Amino acid sequence: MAGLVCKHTAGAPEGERVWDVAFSPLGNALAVTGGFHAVALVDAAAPERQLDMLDEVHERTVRRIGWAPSGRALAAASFDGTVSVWALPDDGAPGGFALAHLLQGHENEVKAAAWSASGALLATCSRDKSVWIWNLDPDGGAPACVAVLQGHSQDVKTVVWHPSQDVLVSASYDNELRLWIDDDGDWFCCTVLAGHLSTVWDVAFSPDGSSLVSASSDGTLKIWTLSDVVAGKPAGSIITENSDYMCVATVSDYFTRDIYAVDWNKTTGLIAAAGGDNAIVVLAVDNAVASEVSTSLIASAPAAHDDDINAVAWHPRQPDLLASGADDGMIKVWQVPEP
Amino acid sequence: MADNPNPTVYMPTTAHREVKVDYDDDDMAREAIDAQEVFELIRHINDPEHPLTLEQLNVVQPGLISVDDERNTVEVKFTPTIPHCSMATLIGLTIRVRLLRSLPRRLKVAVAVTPGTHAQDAAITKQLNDKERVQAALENKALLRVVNKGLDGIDDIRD
Repeated sequence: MAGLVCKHTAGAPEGERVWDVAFSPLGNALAVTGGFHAVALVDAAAPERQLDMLDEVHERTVRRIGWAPSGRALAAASFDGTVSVWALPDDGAPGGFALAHLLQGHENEVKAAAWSASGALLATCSRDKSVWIWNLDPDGGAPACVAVLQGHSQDVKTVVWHPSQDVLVSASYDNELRLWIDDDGDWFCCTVLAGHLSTVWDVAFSPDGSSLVSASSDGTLKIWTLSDVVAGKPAGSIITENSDYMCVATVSDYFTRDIYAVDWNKTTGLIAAAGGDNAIVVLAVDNAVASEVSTSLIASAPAAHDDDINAVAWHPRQPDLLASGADDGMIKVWQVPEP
Repeated sequence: MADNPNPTVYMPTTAHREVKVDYDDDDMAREAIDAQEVFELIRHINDPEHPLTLEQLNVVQPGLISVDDERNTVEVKFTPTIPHCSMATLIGLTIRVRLLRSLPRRLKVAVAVTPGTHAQDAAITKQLNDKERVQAALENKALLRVVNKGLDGIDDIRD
């Protein structure tokens, strides 16, 4: 097991707590958000260099950011109950990100905003227990809400899209995850993933979408795999209304407190996770399609930050790089050493 | 009308010592913390309903505080005066805010309702330890005002 190498360290605006870090799809910018009520865009290769500041819209914490797959727009979810959508000017006209839309409708704190792989849909979730699906107008008009998904009995902490299909997973304070699919415009929950003993804070899909990893306040990660894939069925990774994910591993060895963040590397298949014990761990998943998978520790940074870590994100183009953001007001970029 | 119009009032039984509460963030020296110091920080918090402190109502007690300085953990259990106290969440939040503002950042603080002393003890404890919910509550100006009222004058009090 190796130590993660810290490549860059930078302070967040106003020294405030960092709630989220997200690389742009090309990996040149890092979006950072938190207690400074805005989204800061910083240079991913030199995070102390601020590129842009998307501010003066939210009055309260901005919890999470979702990048459009094009990298030309992003959505920011705020505790003020709104989601701001920011876009670059069309046709390559000069200028940075400008506020394009302010999405209203949630009753209270919005916790996450996530763009589907196709770029056509945006999902948002809130303490009001609901998940909203918004249809994005390709001509730049205001997004229209096409579904309000009820099912969670508590605060919905995050929403994450499948890497290729229009399938959404949500994670909640009710200790469960829900998988949502669409049947000709009619969205519904096809399966509930129960098993965590406390709040589920974050979730990520495996590179092909056949597995999920969830992070919880119960101090464990759980890995879930599509039952059809576990059973070895051909085309088992296509999600239908009958699809079901089964828990194939519960990982508790490396964590002593709540786990707040997890990300699955789309190139290497490594999982990064972090949380209330100020540490980052990088795990490899062995036997990913068997009914009982195991994990092994690849690298870690035991005192990565001086306080809770709220976010970890793999770089989309440089698979050995990882960003983290924490309550200590710091953003860090780490390198996983060569094995 | 208060939930509990006639609460039992307790006299302090412990001998209190002077405690320095302004931990300077820039001070690199690690100061060890113990349960008595944590108690000292919270015993003067005003009850939201009565002109009494949490100590006088036995809501907080030194024996219900545990500190593991080596592992940087603090756990404070508090006991509502009655099992249906509608103020329990507010009391817990006020304790949490007091400790957030006063203790060194290295300490991980858990605030819990003493198990079995409130009809919703587990639900309230879960809420008080959800960092998003706590942060959102503190961004609610009306709620923050009530929390600050509970902490009113607290730093002026010295035995």
